[in-house]
Amino acid sequence: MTEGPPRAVVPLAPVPATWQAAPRLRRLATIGVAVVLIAVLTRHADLLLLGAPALAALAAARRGGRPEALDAAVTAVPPRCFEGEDVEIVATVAAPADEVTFRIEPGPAVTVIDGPVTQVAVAGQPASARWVVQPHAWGRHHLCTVTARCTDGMGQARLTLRPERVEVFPHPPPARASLLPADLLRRIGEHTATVPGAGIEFFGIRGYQPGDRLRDLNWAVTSRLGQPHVNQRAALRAADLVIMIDAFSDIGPPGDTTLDLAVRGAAGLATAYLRTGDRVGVVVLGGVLRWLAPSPGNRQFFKIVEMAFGVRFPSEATPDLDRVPRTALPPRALVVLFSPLLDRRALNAVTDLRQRGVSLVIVDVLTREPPAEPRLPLSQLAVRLWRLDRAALRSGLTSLGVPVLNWDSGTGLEAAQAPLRGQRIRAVR
Amino acid sequence: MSGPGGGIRSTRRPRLGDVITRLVTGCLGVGMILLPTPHLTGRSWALVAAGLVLVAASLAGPLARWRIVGTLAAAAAVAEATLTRPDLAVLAWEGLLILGYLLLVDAPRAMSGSKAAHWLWRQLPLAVWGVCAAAIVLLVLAVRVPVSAWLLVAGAGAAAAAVVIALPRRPPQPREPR
Repeated sequence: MTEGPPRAVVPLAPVPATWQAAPRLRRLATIGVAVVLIAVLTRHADLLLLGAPALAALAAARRGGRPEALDAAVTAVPPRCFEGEDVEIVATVAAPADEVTFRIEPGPAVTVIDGPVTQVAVAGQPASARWVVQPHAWGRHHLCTVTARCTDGMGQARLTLRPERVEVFPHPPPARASLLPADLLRRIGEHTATVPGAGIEFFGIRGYQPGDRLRDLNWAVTSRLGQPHVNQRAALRAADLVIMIDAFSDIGPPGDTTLDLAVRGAAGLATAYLRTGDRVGVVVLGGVLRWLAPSPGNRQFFKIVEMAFGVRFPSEATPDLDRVPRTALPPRALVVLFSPLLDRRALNAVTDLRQRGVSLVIVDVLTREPPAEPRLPLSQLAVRLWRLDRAALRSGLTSLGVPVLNWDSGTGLEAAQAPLRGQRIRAVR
Repeated sequence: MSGPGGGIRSTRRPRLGDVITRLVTGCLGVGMILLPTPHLTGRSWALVAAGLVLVAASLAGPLARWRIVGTLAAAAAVAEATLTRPDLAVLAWEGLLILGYLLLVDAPRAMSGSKAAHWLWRQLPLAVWGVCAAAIVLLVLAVRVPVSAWLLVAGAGAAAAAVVIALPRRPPQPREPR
């Protein structure tokens, strides 16, 4: 059996406690007082025997001053994780209480996978509880709330503890760096360019020139034509990818909204392109236009994710793409827009990008239709009209030269990229 | 439940300590309801049925979360004893059973066997105090004294004093420096 990583020791901090009468006190007092009243009203002193033990227990209960604050803490380890990874929650209360009852309330899109929801610690034993939870939504949020009910004699205090925010990174779906602009950069990379160079892929055959390597001689063509000919290889070039996230719309259940899907897709695509040595940047189309200039390396992935943490910012403002500097949207970069295509401002941004001559691909992240009431024919008709409207919108974008890919959260991004495999995305003005 | 919706996936099996505690509580509850029944007549049997239902509801089921259910079950036992007027020994036992039931019905759920044993051990002093009180009252009632309203008034005063003593006190606020 292997031991896990050492737990972080978090100092307990005093948490204000408001002591109230415990339910037991109310019960015993109710029965005791009721019995005494009955005995008085019926003039039968022997009935006091029914309530005497309860009243004696009340009087014998521990009393006196109780602390105004109890030392308590709750920790979440590790403080950073990916979606679907385990996070350990440990709640500790150092209080002179008879019993401490812990109860965890997981946040939205968080699952408790280990440990009973309610855990009890009796005096004389360490008052702590442990759970393992799994977050299913990226973001920087509190994973749970732990309620600790401390019962001391006939008094009870209730503490509400919240662990520190945990940074949950989006789980990148499998993707390939197969979406490429027609014109690649002049930097050396891993993508096959449409110009001859020192790559691997076969490009063509031409006549031998002084300086060509003899190993490149194509003997079959040379012997047939009687002149030396050499094979040409395609150049390997790098690409710039700018991922745009449409943060205007956020529709769906917690953890599976269109914005969640867009950020996951962005993470998957960024991982794939950064792995091949390309530069990846991000532009968030939201109330506040934010961008990150393309850059290579694994560190860029975490920069992109950190930026994505702040995309949930509801606003009515329309972004002005002219404000995006040239470094954030460099020429000959491929722009992939993750959008549910629901907000007019995002469509305006698409038009703007076309006018700037950007190679653009749209990934539609809307996977749900409006709910239709089966008993209402008009409702079904409305949904059909909505489908037609969506089809017209997508068809209009495709006819303008902007390919629209469908991506369902259940599949990897590779399947969504398949229709454009082997094609180069051309900029259309 | 699992998936993006979130929730609680682990299924909790009833623990041994939990089962034992509830079993003992149920026995005490049934005992306090059934003890006065030999003297019941006519419609009073409805109280027995109601009491048993309340005891069962206070231990398991959706009503177990409502704390008033346990109090009502104890109140049903008190009502039965008031109606039947059994002898002093039965009343003393009834009072002790009510105390035991009220102490145990508050037992926290989801306790392991060792924790349940520890918790039950910590309730023992209260039970001992209850037995002592029952014995004292039994002794006082067994001794023939002229009927006096003062005795009842003293009892009521003692009850009120017990409640006041047991109420948690708010610590005094420190004086602000001048």
